[in-house]
Amino acid sequence: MEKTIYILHQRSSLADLLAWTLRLGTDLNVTCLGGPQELKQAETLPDLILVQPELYEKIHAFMNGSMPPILLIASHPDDEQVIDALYAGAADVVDLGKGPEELLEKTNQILNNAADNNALIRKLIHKNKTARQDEKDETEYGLTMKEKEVLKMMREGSHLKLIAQLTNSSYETVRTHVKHIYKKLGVMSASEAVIKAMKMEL
Amino acid sequence: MIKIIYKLHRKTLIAGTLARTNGGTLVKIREFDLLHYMDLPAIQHLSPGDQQLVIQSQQKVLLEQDIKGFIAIEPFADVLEKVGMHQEARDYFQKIISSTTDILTQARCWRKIAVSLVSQRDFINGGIAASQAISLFQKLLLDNRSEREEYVKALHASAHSYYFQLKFEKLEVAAKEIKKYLPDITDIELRCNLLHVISLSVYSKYRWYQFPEEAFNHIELLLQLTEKLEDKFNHAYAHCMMGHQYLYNEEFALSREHFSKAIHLLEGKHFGQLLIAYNYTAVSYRMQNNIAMTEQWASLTLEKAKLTSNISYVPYSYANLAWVYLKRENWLYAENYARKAADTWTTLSMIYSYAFPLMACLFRKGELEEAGELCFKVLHPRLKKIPGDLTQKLRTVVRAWITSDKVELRNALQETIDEAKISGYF
Repeated sequence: MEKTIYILHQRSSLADLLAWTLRLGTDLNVTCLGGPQELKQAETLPDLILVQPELYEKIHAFMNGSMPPILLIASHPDDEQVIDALYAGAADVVDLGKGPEELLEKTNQILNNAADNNALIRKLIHKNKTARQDEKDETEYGLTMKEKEVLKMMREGSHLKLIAQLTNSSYETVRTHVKHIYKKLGVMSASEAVIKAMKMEL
Repeated sequence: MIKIIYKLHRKTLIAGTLARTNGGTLVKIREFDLLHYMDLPAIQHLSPGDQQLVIQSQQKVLLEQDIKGFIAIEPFADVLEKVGMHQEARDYFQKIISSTTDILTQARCWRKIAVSLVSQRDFINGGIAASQAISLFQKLLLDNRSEREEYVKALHASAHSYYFQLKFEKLEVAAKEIKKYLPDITDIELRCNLLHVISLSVYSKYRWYQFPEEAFNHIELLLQLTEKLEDKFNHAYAHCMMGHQYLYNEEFALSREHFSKAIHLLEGKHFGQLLIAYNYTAVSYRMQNNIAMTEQWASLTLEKAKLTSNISYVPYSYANLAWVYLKRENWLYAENYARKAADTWTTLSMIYSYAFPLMACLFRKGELEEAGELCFKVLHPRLKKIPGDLTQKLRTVVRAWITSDKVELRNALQETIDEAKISGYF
């Protein structure tokens, strides 16, 4: 039986291109909608809705619970908005930057009830977490716990001998820590290091 | 076996009446006014020979008083189809279908409608008519040769329509079904047609790019078989197919050798096939960067295609001429031809032919958005496959286009156009 697909995208030329892509060589009945309100006027529900992540919530509001599968069409598939929509129930996400193959593959998977969205969600969440961790690591310049402790004391105005006493370390060890801190922060002096420490909110 | 067919009574068929024909089969009729059916179609535009054919065939129908009159309508419609009066022929086939309950007659007429539509390149409706025919044939036992032959002819028409609509899965199903019946087919011409379908399924499988040895062996067999036929049309067509394969394996001289053999065999007749040979000769020169020869063959193709209102090779010639003007840095003409090609394009799988020249024109004008869209289209997995390096460059363009990275889009487009020029796919 002929399957029906609706496409909702604010860039109408892109929506037309996606409709062309899906129709070529298939029996799919593809319609581009002007906005979420047109979903309300539709007599029957489609087998699949393709939508940009920004419009996902609006569609939710219009559909009143009875939702066909929704495939997100994204330019940046790692966006928080995409992840939120996947959490809220979207079936999968297509990275349009990968070209028409992925769009066709994922559409077919969903229409044939073969989408592996759990795996995808897991992957995205992991990717998102890793990205956040990387971001955090980047702001802390890869300092070790000991180096952070030394830097914090420097920020509080302690000189190196005092830091050595407070940390039960030798003066030479503290100097080595400081050298490493300078290198990692890309600074040349204690004052520069302290400014960076303030930015890091140590 | 008793079949229900029709009876004529004073040139009016009476519903429900049964009559026995010469062959011993029974005819069941519906209300059917033969005289009304036989309104003369306008034939003044036909050649004298063809006019004579139509008149003779029509008289045969009108002179017959009985069931024979009804039966003669189908050959009359066949004549109309043969002389190029496709719509009129289809109208008669439709009338026969609606006037009979005989499944074989209905299926055969649907098959003929499908062939007629496909020959006019109406692949969507051709496919629908072929499906009707196939579903009717599948209700029959197919226990005699003529029924089986009719069935595979319907499969042949459906395969053609699916091929041009790029419905590869359905084409594959038709090709498999044909393979099942192939050993049973003794008529060489029909056998060749069926082998042709198998070739189409190979084309779609490899997406018109770098065919394996088996594809060449298959056409070699087709060449040997068609050589035996009296009508050289099929043999010429087989040469066209071989030319095609060499072209997509980038063996241009061999490719042109086969196209020129086809042109010689066709003797200026069968414009559909002649245009294939002309057009792809132009493409082979284009892929070898030969501007003068591309222009010569593309112009010849365009002239003949316009004369015969061929909806495939008029735009294809525009695309080849766009390339010619682009090479001569006549950007205005190049874009004009590329746009004309894009607006009327029908050879879906070969979109790259107009896409790259148009992309270059758009790039020069700084209209990167439309160029990015073209790259997305060219990457569609149902279209002709293009070399890996070029595909990679196209992907980079698509990524930049989707993410609206203007700088990257410009750089990637430049690299794509350069790569296309090197690869011969520009």
